[in-house]
Amino acid sequence: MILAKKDIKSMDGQKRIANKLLALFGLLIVVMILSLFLGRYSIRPDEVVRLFKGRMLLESYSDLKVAEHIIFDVRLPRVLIAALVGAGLSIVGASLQGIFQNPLVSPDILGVSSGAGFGAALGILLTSGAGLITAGLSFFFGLLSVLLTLSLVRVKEHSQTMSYILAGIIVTSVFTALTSLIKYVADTEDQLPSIIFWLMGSFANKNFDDLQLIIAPILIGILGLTALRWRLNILSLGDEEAFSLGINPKRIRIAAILFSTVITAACVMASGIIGWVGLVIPHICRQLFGVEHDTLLPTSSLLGASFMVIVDCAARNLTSAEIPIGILTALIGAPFFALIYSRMKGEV
Amino acid sequence: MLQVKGGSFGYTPEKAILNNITFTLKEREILAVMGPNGVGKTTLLKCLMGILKWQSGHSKLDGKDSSEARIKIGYVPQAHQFSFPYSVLDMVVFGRAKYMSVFATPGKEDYRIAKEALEEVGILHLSDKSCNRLSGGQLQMVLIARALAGEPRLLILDEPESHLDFYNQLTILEIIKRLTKEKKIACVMNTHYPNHAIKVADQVLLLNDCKSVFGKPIEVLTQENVRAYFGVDSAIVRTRILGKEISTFVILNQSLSENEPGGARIEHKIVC
Amino acid sequence: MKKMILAVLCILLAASLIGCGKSQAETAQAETAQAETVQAETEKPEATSAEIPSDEARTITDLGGNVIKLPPASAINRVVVMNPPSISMLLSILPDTKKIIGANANAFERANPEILEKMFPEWQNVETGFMIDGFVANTEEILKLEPDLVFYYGNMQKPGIENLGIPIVDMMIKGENNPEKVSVAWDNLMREIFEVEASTTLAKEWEMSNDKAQKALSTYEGEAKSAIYLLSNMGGVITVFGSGTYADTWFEKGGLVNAASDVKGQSEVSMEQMHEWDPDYIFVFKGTPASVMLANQVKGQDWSLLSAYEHEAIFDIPQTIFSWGAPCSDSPLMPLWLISKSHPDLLDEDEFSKLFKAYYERVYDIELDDEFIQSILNGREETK
Repeated sequence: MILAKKDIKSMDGQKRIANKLLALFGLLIVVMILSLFLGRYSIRPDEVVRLFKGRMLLESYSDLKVAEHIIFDVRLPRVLIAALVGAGLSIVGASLQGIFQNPLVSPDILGVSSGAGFGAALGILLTSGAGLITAGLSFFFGLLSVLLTLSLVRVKEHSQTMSYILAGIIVTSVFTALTSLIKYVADTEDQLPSIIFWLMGSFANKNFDDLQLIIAPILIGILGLTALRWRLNILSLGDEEAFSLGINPKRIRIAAILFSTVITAACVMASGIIGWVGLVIPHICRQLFGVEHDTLLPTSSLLGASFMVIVDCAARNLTSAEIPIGILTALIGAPFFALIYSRMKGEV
Repeated sequence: MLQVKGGSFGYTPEKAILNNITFTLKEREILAVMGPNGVGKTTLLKCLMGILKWQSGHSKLDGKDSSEARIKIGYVPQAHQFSFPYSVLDMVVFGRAKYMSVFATPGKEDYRIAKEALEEVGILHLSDKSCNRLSGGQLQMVLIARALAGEPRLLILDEPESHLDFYNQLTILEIIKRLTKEKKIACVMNTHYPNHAIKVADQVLLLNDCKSVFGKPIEVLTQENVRAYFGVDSAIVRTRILGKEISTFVILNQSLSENEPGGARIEHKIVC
Repeated sequence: MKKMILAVLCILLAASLIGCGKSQAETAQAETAQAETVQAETEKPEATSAEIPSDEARTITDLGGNVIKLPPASAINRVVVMNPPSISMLLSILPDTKKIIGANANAFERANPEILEKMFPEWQNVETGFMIDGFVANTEEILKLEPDLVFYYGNMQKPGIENLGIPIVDMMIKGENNPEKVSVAWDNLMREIFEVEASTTLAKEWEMSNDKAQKALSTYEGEAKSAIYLLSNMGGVITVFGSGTYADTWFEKGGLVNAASDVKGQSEVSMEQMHEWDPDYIFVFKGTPASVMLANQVKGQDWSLLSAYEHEAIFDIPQTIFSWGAPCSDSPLMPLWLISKSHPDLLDEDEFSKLFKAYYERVYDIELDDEFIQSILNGREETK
């Protein structure tokens, strides 16, 4: 199933990887542009093209005022956010799977999502809305939960990757319980539905303000992880082996975990908890481009971005009602994953 | 080149596993570490590599404390499955990690050295294969190549020939011997096979709970020592086969306690 | 490694399942045991109260089709109402509102405090804490209230209140989304339970309302205007009522069509979808009030390009004894109000105010002054 990697590291091979990255980037751009054409509000393709031209020539057409608003203020920020979140979650999934030497790890393994989810629920409870405070709390508790996990790991003298996963389970369950507590005390009339809808994950009604909020943390995180990408290979061999190869695994792991956390917290802050992407996309990329993190990380983030834009396009187009994106990623991701799994010959 | 002086280590403060280990190893020499299961052979290797810190004493490589000379040590773990099926070449290039900055990716030069190392152990043709599809012998070669790619002065191997068939055992041992001589490095390996020690090792370190013996294989693996350390009667037999004199280690019997007719195995003849 | 993780996860899952199962079973047992003892205890006084001549015991059929044995109306003195809107019926029917001792807190959130004060002076002291998460009742708290009768809404609210020896009355007509039918059914059932006859029943009021609406709309010849029932706009989430909801009936009676009829039931929609529908009118049930949307001050949403914004046609649904957006004892006013907003040429606001005032005099015997009526029709203010 693994594509033949014929002397992939020769100059020719490196060029081929560059070509693949270029192709994936092209795919992303095409997907993003196409999704600007699609939406519940009917705008004819030629009108879209006209509007694009108008934007470039700094002209505006009074007859297309609503259409202009829809494309540039409603669809564009939403598509950009979806791409960022998709890229972020996928690269985090790929990285954490490497760090924990386990291909079944997903971005919320260390408790980020549950922490950020709790923060958002708390924000909705306190402010009855999803304003800046809610976003801030979500981000804050996302970071806090991982710091808690890390300090739990430090309590043990001989920490191993298993300790991280167990500590993550502990922290996750605490924040999940706290979120349930908030749901319990929340006003059933309006706060509770807001919390539930938020936790399901959605890109609905996102705008440039939201984009501004998440663009820095996600891009910084992606750059950080990309810079560390080759080192993740060594980490994925296990601590002792990494050490014997002359690498201090702890420091790199902490750095990678912090970058991952910043990304995940920002993603959850922007769009709630979206599952599956961080698990499925790295797997697909491993099948297509090989297991080496040097190529896996950039390909995962590019493919993840395209995937998320496509799924979100479906979420807003299939019915007049918004379909929560988390449901779609699971419904599309799970069978896809099953297909890949069945084709894998003993290799995970 | 490698000097260990008075090295002691224990996982708990009460009980030391390694006690006052002392030996020196020269360039182009192979040391075979032997001893019963659980006696601390792997622990010794970890202490040499600096993964574990000596509680007293020290080990020096080229005059430098070995925990500071980690870059000069190449380690070959026992062959195992990997979580991610990296290709052979990728795996060998990981041996270059210690020479690269944190954010760097391997360059042309690193790949050249990795390929050289593969050629050295004779598996360049496997470059593109996935590590999880190799046989045990091949995988062991890959791991040796990975250690070589790190351009070590000291090569440490943890039971390199375990789980291999006769043929592969010999191949691995020959490669280790050749590399040690050609590359002017020193080599420390754990082994359970006295014959392997006699065949390739220049020195043997025999370990038991509280004591150790160090010296040439034939001088260390004496009847008395083997009896004391393993509780086994043995002999080293010299034969001449096809005009070549060969020393062979022969296991005779479990040595039995003379006082006990039931014949329980003598557990600790050595008094600590 | 992988196997270990898997094993640990399995163990955790199993342990938690066993734990949950056990504790659930235990609490369930404890609950039934308690219910039994309580029943045993209450049976004793009931045995004495059973000395009430048997011809006074009666049975009724509730809206869920259950046949319930009830004490005579004079013996029903402590009533708990678990579904918010139906408390409004009780207030209009019961001569003594002190009989209502427990209610759902949501019943008061969608009501106007001044009207509540007039019709239900005790409303601030009514017990509301017995509802777990606003929906299901806590058995022990219910028992502590010692109610003679509990009103609930559908099987979802049933757990925790059944088999307590207290008569419980289901107020839910399965699958019925017509607020006229629902409100009339509630009114009739309550009248039957409390044995109240009156000159004005909700059925009669509905007849008058329907007549009035039909007359007003009969002269209208244009194409029906479109509207959206905006359930709420909160935290960036817009929820509307599509088809198969109360919105069907309201808009039909008000001479409007539901722009969101391609959506089934209650549903979250995007701002883009709102543009696609671009309704002539938007009626807001709860959440961000109309005034905020008309000022285009909703964070992250631009309302200024919608026709309803341009024509200032976004309105809060009035709240009196309850919101008119749900079936309640003021329901017959809703269609007329919709007409006054969407077709002021056929029924203007002055005329509607008069109808409103007269309705309150007829049904509740309460006089509302014009200023107060105006304040209710002006809509809600943003609550912080």
